[in-house]
Amino acid sequence: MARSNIDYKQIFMDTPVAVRAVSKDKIVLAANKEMAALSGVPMDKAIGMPCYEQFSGELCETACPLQQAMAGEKVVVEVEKKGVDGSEILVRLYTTPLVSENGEALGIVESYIDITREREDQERVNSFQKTLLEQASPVIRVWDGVLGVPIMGILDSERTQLIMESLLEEIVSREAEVAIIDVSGIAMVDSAVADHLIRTAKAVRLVGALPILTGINADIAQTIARLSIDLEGLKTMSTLRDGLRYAISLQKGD
Amino acid sequence: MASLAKMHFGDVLLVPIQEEMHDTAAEEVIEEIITEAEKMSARGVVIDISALDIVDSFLGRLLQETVRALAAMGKKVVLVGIQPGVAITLIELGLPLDGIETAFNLESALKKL
Repeated sequence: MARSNIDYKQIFMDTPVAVRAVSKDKIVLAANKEMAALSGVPMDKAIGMPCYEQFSGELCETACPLQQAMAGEKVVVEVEKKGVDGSEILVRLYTTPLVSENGEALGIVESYIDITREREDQERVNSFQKTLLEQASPVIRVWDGVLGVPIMGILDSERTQLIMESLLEEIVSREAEVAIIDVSGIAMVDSAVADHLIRTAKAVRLVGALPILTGINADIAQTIARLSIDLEGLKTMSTLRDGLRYAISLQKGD
Repeated sequence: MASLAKMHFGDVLLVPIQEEMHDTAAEEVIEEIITEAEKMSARGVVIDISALDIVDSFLGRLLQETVRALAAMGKKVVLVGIQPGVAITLIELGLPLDGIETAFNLESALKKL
């Protein structure tokens, strides 16, 4: 096919991304089919309309990106817009400057991709992951004033943060005096994991409870020794049973 | 500093830190605590920071210095009511306040003195 036979207008109209051209005075110059579907404004009605009426969103009144985009800056933003039925939708906007043949800046071209579903799916996955992580290390009330957290599997910084938050909240709300952190279920201990454990224990101490690390088996103990990790000032015990016995003996002493 | 309420429990000085303070105010409060502890020849000092929801590195370091200064004067110090968020921030700032006694309420703080 000869090059001159390509119908650019058809390409513009049928492209599966919502595209519109907006003049520097914020008037819609062109809009394709997908744009009509996304905004709910038919193609013929859209032309001549103010852009913020055809497809209004949170940035229209506060931080309209038109000036930036006309200056040639590539704007890529995620922005909330009003969808066809008035509901909030999340779109990703890409802009390119619209320039006439003799180089005059006419306005901008905006391309929108609806990422509402994508975002919702992502949020669902995130919250599921968080629940899973929390359930993997529940804070258990093992005795009066004694909380226990069994840590299973892999301990990374994100998980440490979660455990720390839920453990500290529990300690403060229940006025627990002792928190036993049982590490016998941890898959692997390296210096990063040891550091996470120590940070958790220190945070427990700051809110006013006594941290006890239990479940330090021979493997973990050797790793700790080999890495010359300093456990000074932290109460450690080999089994959860020892830890619990110690915690209860402390309370009888009161 | 009008906002600083000091209380004496026998030979223990109790200081509740009331609210978020700007840096200068914080320095003044700390100085007042140390002076007062010396004046009343306190055996122990309880600093209650349960009203603080956030700390920054300045206040964190200031707390650490205060406790060290008081310890150097032979006073026992207990920090009371460190909120979970504050504890996490202190750890992240690398200010674990090692060697400082902590308690979640006044009762257990007095027991630790």
